[in-house]
Amino acid sequence: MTLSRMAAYAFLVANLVVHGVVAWLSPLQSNDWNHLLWARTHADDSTGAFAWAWLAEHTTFHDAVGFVLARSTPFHAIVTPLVGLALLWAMFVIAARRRPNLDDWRDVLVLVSLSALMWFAAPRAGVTWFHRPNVAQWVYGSAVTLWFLVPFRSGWRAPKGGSVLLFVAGFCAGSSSRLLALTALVLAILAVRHAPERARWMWAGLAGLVAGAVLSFLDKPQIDFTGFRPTIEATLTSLDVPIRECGEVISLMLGLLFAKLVLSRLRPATDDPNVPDTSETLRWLWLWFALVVVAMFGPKFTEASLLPASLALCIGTYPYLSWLANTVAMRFLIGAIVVGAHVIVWWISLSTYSHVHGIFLDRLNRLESGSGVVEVSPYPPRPTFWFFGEDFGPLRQRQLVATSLYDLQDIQISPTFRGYELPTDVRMRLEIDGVTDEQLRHARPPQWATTPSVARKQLEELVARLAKAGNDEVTARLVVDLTPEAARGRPILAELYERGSSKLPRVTRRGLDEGNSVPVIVRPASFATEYPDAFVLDGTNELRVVPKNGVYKVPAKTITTQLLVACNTTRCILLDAFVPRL
Amino acid sequence: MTPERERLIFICSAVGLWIVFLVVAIHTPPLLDDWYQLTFWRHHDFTLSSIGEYAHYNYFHFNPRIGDVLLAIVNGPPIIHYILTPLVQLAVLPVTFAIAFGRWPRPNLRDLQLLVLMQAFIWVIIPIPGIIYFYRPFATNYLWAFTVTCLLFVPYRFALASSASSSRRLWFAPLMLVLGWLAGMANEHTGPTAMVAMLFILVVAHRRKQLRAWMVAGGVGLFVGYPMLFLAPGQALRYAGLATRDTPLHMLKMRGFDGCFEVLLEFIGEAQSGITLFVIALLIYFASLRRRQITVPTIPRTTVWTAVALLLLAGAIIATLFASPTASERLFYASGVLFVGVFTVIADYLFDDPRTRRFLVIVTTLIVAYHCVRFVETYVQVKAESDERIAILRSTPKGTVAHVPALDHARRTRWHWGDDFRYASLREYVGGELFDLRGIELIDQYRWAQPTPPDRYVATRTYDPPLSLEEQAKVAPVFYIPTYWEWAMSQLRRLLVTTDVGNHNGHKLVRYEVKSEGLGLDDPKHRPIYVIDWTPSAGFTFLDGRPYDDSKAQPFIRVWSKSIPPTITDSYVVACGKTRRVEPIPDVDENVGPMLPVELECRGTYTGVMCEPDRCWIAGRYWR
Repeated sequence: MTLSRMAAYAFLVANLVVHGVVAWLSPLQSNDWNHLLWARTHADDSTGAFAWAWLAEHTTFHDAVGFVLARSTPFHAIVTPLVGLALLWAMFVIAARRRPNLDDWRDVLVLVSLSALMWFAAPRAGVTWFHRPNVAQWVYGSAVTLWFLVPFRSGWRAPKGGSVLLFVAGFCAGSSSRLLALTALVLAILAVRHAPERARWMWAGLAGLVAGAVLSFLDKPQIDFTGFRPTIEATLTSLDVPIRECGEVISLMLGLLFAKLVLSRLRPATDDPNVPDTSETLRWLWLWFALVVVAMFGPKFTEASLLPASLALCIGTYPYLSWLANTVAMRFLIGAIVVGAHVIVWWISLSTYSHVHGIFLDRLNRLESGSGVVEVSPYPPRPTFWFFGEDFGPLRQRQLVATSLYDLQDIQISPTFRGYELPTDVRMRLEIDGVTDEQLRHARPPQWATTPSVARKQLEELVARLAKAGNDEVTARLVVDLTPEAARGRPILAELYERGSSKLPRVTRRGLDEGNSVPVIVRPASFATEYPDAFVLDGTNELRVVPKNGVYKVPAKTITTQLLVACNTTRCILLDAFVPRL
Repeated sequence: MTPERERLIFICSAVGLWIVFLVVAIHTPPLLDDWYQLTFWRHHDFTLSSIGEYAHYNYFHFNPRIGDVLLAIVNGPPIIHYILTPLVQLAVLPVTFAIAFGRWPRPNLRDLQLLVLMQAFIWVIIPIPGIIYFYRPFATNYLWAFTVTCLLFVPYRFALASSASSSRRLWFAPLMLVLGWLAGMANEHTGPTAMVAMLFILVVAHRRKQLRAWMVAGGVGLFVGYPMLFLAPGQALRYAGLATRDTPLHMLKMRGFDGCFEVLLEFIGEAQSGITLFVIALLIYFASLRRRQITVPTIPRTTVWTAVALLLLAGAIIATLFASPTASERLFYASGVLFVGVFTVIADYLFDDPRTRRFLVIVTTLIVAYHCVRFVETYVQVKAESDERIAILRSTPKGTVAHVPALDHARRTRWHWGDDFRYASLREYVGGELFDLRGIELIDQYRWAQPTPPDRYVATRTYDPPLSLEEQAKVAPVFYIPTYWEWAMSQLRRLLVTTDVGNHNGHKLVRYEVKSEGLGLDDPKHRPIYVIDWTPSAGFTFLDGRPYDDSKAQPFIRVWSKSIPPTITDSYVVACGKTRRVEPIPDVDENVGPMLPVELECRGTYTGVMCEPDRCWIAGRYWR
């Protein structure tokens, strides 16, 4: 075995081990809880019903993978590092149109460099690589998409059963995210168009891709243009993160190329008569830009959604890395940089996640054994390059997990931190018609949440359970136990179901605005004319509010619970309740 | 195109840019630090002796940089600003060009295109171009100052670029001495690099037998100027002596490898758009050569070494920032300009390919045009809003509180600083010092605007032999005592230097106390709340506390441990109409000093108070 091959194996094994350990240590967070909640909801189903419901509700690749990763840490710890390596390998193959030759130092160096460059190029790379929901969507998604594209780019002859394989890969790539689906579709179509011979596997792959893409585009949440702003200049600021973060790779490569140029002037003997093949670099740059712009359409234009763009940029560096590796001195310089980068990245990842893992285990233990309101310690609350931050900051997520997953009243984090949403204490009771006591006992949650949005979710699940039991025309109300003067005797409802469907408008709360108010958006906007009498209850104070285009502005000056209520002549609706975060 | 036509286009472009700078200069309203200079000119005539007095005071008691004197000058009669500022802004281009190419730009199309490229890249690469160029305090302290530094090096660059020995006469030496001194007094973070570069140039010139008296004179000026700046007595007093606490070694230790690397990454991040644009140009160049089947020509040796030198200089200035108490955007200006120099010398090489040249010229012209339009548009709007506010301030009866609207450009952007009345201390200062008002409030409450503190500060002077209160009132009267400790100290410092408050007809000021009244501290012992306590022998005693958010995003008032008396018994945070007793928490992250935990309950001012058995101290404020 050659030394370069041994070095490559050592790197690959170390990569697998470190990523495996960190995956094992990574806590369940954000969307992972939704998967557990789904499993809890279907816990009483028979195996067949569970499988059927799972297939029906996990139609996309990222959703299916996300479920598995949330439910099985051993799977995550074993399979995810392998997928990570597969992604790295695919990058090399896509870039070079061949497999890396581990007996050639240059190929080994390029492979390891690509791995390091991913950490430079990806904004908040630690969160992208180790936060399970991101891993499911972007790491698995990117890996399958790249491998799907490999035969198209390399002009490989498909092995036996290749069509089936390509169909499955295409389906997975297409349903991993809209961004990856669209990218794979455009690139695959271009490849088919330019292919001298259009083989059957190409059509099979495209068919799978289209099928997956259709599911992706039908999946919720829909495109929300999160990266775009009202003006072009403001929209350009969305490009700031990708330009800055991904650009680090551009700057590093430019610096290395310049260093080689200077070296050749200092020591003419090291002058390399070859020049790097720059023919594809601009295309990779445009692809990077296109991927960033498409990611801006959302939903959720986060740093993790920039992983595909970062990969495009890294792949584009291949000819330069190969050229740089021709010079021995540069080989040492690059080697030192990539080894240093990996050592730092691995060390910080391991130390960050081992710390977080301790908090997670303690938290899990308290949630499983506690009752009522359970107090837990916070994770490092601020999002960093390495860690997602505290996911229990928002009250809704916290109380949903408490009530629906652990039958607790609430979860309290201590010590608190900036961004921690204090609990509201809105007492609600259920009024329901057309259901027997027996049916209700089976369907109702053990206790009602004290946050209207969570209580609404609980009622939604209750109605769904009753519908499954044959009661699909239920009329139910969540009545708030409050009788403020402004309500003038009218009941205040937090939720209202008539004949099995909710009659309440959609309510979205935004962050604090410039004038110290929290905008609450109610859709349809016509709700305001149906319920024209609106007020905010702040402790004992009542403040009249007049919505503008369905937007109610709730003052946020103290940390008392603010209740936004809108009334018509017969009843009031509790639109939102929250404690402002100062 | 004929050379005459090229010359005409060159001149028209220069005049066009000058007009843009002039229009913006005319529309630049007074903002933030400008108000302090306006206060000075309110009480002084614009004469050379006043400028000297200002420079002298600043050197010994405040900001010793030459840029601050220049700021006072451009904040004098507006005509000076209209004449000088656009010329200096315009001069940035030929001076940087001269440094990059070792010659002045010629009035032809190619050099014009390189200058346009240079301007575009400067505006893309420096972090906040609108603020660096048009916010006078930054412009004079950074843009003017670095232009002076570059100007110092132009003759050296020309001398090194030419193999012939310099023919400059002796009269040039005193000029270079002054220029060198000015460059030395320019900036703390550019001086060391300038000195190293100067030393290198002098050694090379000596070896090449090109060393002349003017060269030595410039070097001497620089080597005198910089230590004068660095060791100026004012440095120890600015920002309540922050420089004495955050020494270069302390900052290096605090930042560590991580922090220093962050500074470097921050600069690269700011420059990234420019770097990416340049890389695209390079790729177009290679693609064009490939299409034309031309092998890549060798980059000239001079180009490579000039680029290396400029890169090293830019890097050295950034490295100096590792030891600086602040490493914020404005300090990247000098490195940014040198970095642009690197791109420009390489662009000159790329210009040999028509396609690349076309691409770069079109893109950079568009960038420059867009910036010019946005600068003019922004400042015309801001000036109108600012004029409206000043009219309200003038028409508000003296001794009352004026209510003014917030600027539409309230937030800081790359074009403009934003609304400076966000700072309660500045509102108070402008109202009190310039318009004799009791205060200024914004008409609406904004999230970004600091609320006015609930208390007021009262000063007590003690004389030996004693002076009656009536007589005291006649000595150096002040309209108000600033409710911000640093400004309260600064006020006394200024009075001590500029008036007879320290010794009035044999009555010596032996103690000066500033106390807070009306804070609402619920203290059963009714102890007085001190802000500062001054005696001639001990100087100022005060608690140096500042708002601080720890790594867990928890709010605190962090107090520098060395400023805390050893006899502190109890601590409080006063806010939202309540007094909350708190236990100081040790600062494990940075070890600056104990931290008073702030519990955010309402929007308003949170005042930290630390008490000794017989008196309390204001320990800093936090606001939300």
